Amino acid sequence: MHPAGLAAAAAAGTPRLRKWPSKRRIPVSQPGMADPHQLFDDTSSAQSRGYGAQQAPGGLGYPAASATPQAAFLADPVSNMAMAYGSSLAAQGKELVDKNIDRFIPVTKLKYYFAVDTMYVGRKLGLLFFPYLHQDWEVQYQQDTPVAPRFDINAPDLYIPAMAFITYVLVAGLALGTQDRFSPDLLGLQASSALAWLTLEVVAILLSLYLVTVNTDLTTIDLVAFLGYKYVGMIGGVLMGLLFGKTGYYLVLGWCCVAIFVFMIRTLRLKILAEAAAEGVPVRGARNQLRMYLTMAVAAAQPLLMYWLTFHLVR
Amino acid sequence: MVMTFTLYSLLQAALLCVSAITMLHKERFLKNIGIKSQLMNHIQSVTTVMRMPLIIVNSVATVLLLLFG
Repeated sequence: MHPAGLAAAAAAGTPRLRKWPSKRRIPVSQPGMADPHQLFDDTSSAQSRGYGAQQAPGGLGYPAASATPQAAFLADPVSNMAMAYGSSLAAQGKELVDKNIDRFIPVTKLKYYFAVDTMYVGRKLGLLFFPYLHQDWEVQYQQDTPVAPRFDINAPDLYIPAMAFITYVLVAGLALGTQDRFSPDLLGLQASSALAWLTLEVVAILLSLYLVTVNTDLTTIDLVAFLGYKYVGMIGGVLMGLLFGKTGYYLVLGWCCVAIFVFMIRTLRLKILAEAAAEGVPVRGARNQLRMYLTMAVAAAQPLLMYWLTFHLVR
Repeated sequence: MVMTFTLYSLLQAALLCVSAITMLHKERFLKNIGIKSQLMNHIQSVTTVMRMPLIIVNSVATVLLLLFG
């Protein structure tokens, strides 16, 4: 949608684009009036074209002769038709993508996970490194839907895992570079490896949840969010390992491993062992015991993976 | 030292597992391990559907393996 619109606009208005690039590229930001289905602002509409044309004589100090080739370009009927055809193609493409994108990527559901703000991110990072004093781990609900992460620190989000994953790949590249082992394809290899482990984890946990026949409201995206929180600890460990050598790495990694273990146990307990954990009583009975073992297994896998994915980066 | 465990190797492993399950001979397998018939029926229905796409995916994977090692 956005690339199609920009490509059509660029193809149609190339001379203008070359002369006044900065005026054209600024998207018209209308936060209140934005269509809820749109992810990005629409810069292919006539409004932005009019905006660009208005600014043209106004102000960059270009000679007046530059207006004439532009007028000549517009007067040419063939290019007029080409522009109209291009913009109609762009509109069609945008419609098609809008109609079908919900089938492949649940866009509205994903938007919930990225509704974060700075305070939430700060508090959540603090919670990931020090979860021992936090008392209430319940996610607050608002008429059957969970509250957005902006308003509740216990809600899972995808912003921190996504950013942490990217930072992990970059920090891995940095660590390899300081040891003269770097080459650009290694970055891709690291990213692919971490993603493969994540996929394997998600599939294994979903399979075991299915086999144990647990009725949870733990969606796949929730699970990906929870499993992505360990990248934060991994980044901390590798950075400390770069600064202070192996002792710093083991200290920080040990701390982060224990913190993630406690964090995962306390979060997953509420999701998987819903009824029993709500009262805080120790669980009995075969079914609850199985669920407890599952939670502990998931939580124990996190420190193991954290070590496995980072130990080769620190020498 | 890195166990080069990429997404592609994960896909390859999954493909091999699914192909193995598809080629399973039901009677011989049931004689050794008595699994519940519901799971067996489920596997059989999945395999009858998946045989054709699996052939295509396996050939694609073989060609890729030949080309890129």
